[in-house]
Amino acid sequence: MIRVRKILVYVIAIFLTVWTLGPIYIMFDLSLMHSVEIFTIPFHFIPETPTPYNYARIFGVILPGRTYEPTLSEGALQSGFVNSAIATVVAPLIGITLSVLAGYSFARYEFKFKGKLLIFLILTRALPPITIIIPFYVILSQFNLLGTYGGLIIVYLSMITPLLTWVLIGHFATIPIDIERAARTDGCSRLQTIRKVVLPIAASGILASLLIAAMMVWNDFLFALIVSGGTRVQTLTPTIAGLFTNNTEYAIMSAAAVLGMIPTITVALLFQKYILRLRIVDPITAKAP
Amino acid sequence: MAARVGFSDSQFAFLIIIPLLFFNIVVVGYPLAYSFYESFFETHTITQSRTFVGFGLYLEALKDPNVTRSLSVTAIFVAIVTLLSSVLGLAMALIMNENFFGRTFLRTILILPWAVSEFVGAVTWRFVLADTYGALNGFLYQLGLIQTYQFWLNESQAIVWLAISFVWHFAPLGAYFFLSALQTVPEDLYNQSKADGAGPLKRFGYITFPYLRYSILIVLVLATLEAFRVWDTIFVITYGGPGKSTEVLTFRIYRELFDFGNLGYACAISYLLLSIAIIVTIIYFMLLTKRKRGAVGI
Repeated sequence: MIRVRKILVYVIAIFLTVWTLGPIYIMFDLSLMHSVEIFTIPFHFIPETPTPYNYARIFGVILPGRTYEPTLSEGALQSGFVNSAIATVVAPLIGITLSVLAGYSFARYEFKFKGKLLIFLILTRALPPITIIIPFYVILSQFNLLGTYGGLIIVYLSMITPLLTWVLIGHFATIPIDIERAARTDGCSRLQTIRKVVLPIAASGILASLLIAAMMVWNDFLFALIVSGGTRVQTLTPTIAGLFTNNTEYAIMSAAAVLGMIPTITVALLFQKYILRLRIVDPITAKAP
Repeated sequence: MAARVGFSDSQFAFLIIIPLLFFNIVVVGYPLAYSFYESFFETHTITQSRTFVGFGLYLEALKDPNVTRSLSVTAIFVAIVTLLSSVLGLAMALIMNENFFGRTFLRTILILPWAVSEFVGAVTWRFVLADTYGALNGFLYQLGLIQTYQFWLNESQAIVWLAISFVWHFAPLGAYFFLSALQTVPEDLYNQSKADGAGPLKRFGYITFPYLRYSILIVLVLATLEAFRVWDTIFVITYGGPGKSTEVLTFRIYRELFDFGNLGYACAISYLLLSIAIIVTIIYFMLLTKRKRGAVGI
C-alpha cells in the first residue's frame, strides 16, 4: 500500500516536473540554436552545436569569426530591453509612493466614503484591461502621449496602484498600532510617525509589493502593445511579438524570451514565500483584508 | 508639521489619500466615462463618421453573431481553464504536501510558470505547438506515438490548446492557495482516522476536502476572472484563428477597434464585458463575506 503510494507520488512528481520545466527548457534549447536548426525535423531537444550567438547579438557583442552587422531586430530588442527596464523601475516607484500613503490611511483611519472608495478601488482592479485600454488609446492619442514614456507610465500606474494599495492595506493592518500611538505621544507628527516608525517596520512588505508591481509591468503585453507598439519607446513584449512575422529571427527571439524570463523568475525564487503570503490579501486574487 | 497645522485625524486621512484618488479618478474614472459616452455613438475612425444611436450599439451587439460566438468561445475557454487549473493545482498542492525525496526541488520549480508571464508562456507554447517544427510534434514523433507531424491548432482543438497554455501559467497560483489550506489540516485528525481504519480516499473525502473547500472556491472564482480577461495568449498563439474559432470577447473588442476602426462599437461591447466582470466580482465578494460569518475556515 505504502509502496503504491510512493510510486504514484513519484510518477506525478515526474509528470509535473516535465510539464513545468519542459516549455521553459524548449525556449532555452531554441535560444542556443542557429536560425535554421529550429526548423529541422524531427525536433532537436539538444542543439547540434550550441551557440551563444543569439545572446551575443542581443547584447551587441561580436563573436570571433563572425562579422557583426546590427540588424533591425537586434536594435529593436536592445531598445526594447531598455524601455521595459525604464517602465519597470519608474512606474512602481511612483505607484508605491501614492499607495503607501493611501494604503496607510485606509488601514488606520476612519473617514467619510471610506467604504465607497474601497469599492471603487476593487472595481478598478477587477476591470478587464481591454475595457480600459480602448479609451486610454483614444485619450492618449489626443494628448499626443502615445509612444512616450509618460503615456506608458500613466497606464502602468493605473494597472498597479489598485493592487499595491490593496496589498498594503492588508500589510499595514498587521502592524501593531501601539508603536505608532507611542510615537505620537512622544511628539511625532502624523507624517513623522509614518516616515520614522511605520515605514521601517513595513519596509519588507513594501519592498515585496514593489517587486510584485515591477513584475506586472515587466510582464505586461496588452498595454505595452497599444501604447508603445511600433514607436521609439516600444518595450520588450511587443518587440518579441513583432518578430513572429519573420521566421529567420526565431532564434534571437527565443533568446530574448529567455532573457525576459530571467528577472521575474529570479524575483519569484528569491521572494517566493514572501510574495505568496502577500498575495493572500489581494482582494481579487484572494480574501479581503 | 501636520500636527502644528492641526488637522483632525479624518482630514489627515483624506489628505494622504488624495494623490491616489485624484490619479485614479483622472486616469481610470475619466476614460471609463469617456468610453461609456462613446458607446452611444456609431463611429468609424477610418471614415471619421459619427452618429448618435443611443443604446443602439448594445442592441446590435446582442444580435451580432461575432459577439455571441465570441461569448461562447469565452465560455468554453473559461470552463476548460477553471476545470484544468483546479485539478492540476490540486495535484500540485497534494504532491507538495507529500513527504518525499525531491519535495523541496518540486516546491521551488512549480511556481516558475506563474513567474514566467502569460505572454512569454504563450510565446513558448506557440513554439511547442507549431505544426511544422514544434517541440510537441517532435517529442511524440520521436517516441513513435505519431507517424506524421500534426496540426494541433485546428479549428476544433485550438481553443483547448490555448486553455492549456493559459493553465500552464495560471495553475501554480491555484496550487499555492490549495497548499496553504492543506497545511492547516491538523495532523492528529489524519492519524486518528488512520487508526480508525479509514483508507486514503475516505481520508481525503472526510478530512482533507472540508479544509480545502474554501480554497477551491477561491481558485474557481479566481480562474474564472483571470480566464475572462485572457488576451495575450490569444494574440500570440492564434490571433483568434483559425477562422474565428478562438476569438474570445476581449479579442473581439480589440479587433473591433484596432482592426476595423469601430470605436463606439468596441466601447459598447467592452461595457458588456465590464458588466459580466462586475457581476462575477460581486458574486465573489458575496461568497467571501459569507465565509467571514464563519462558514468554513482555511
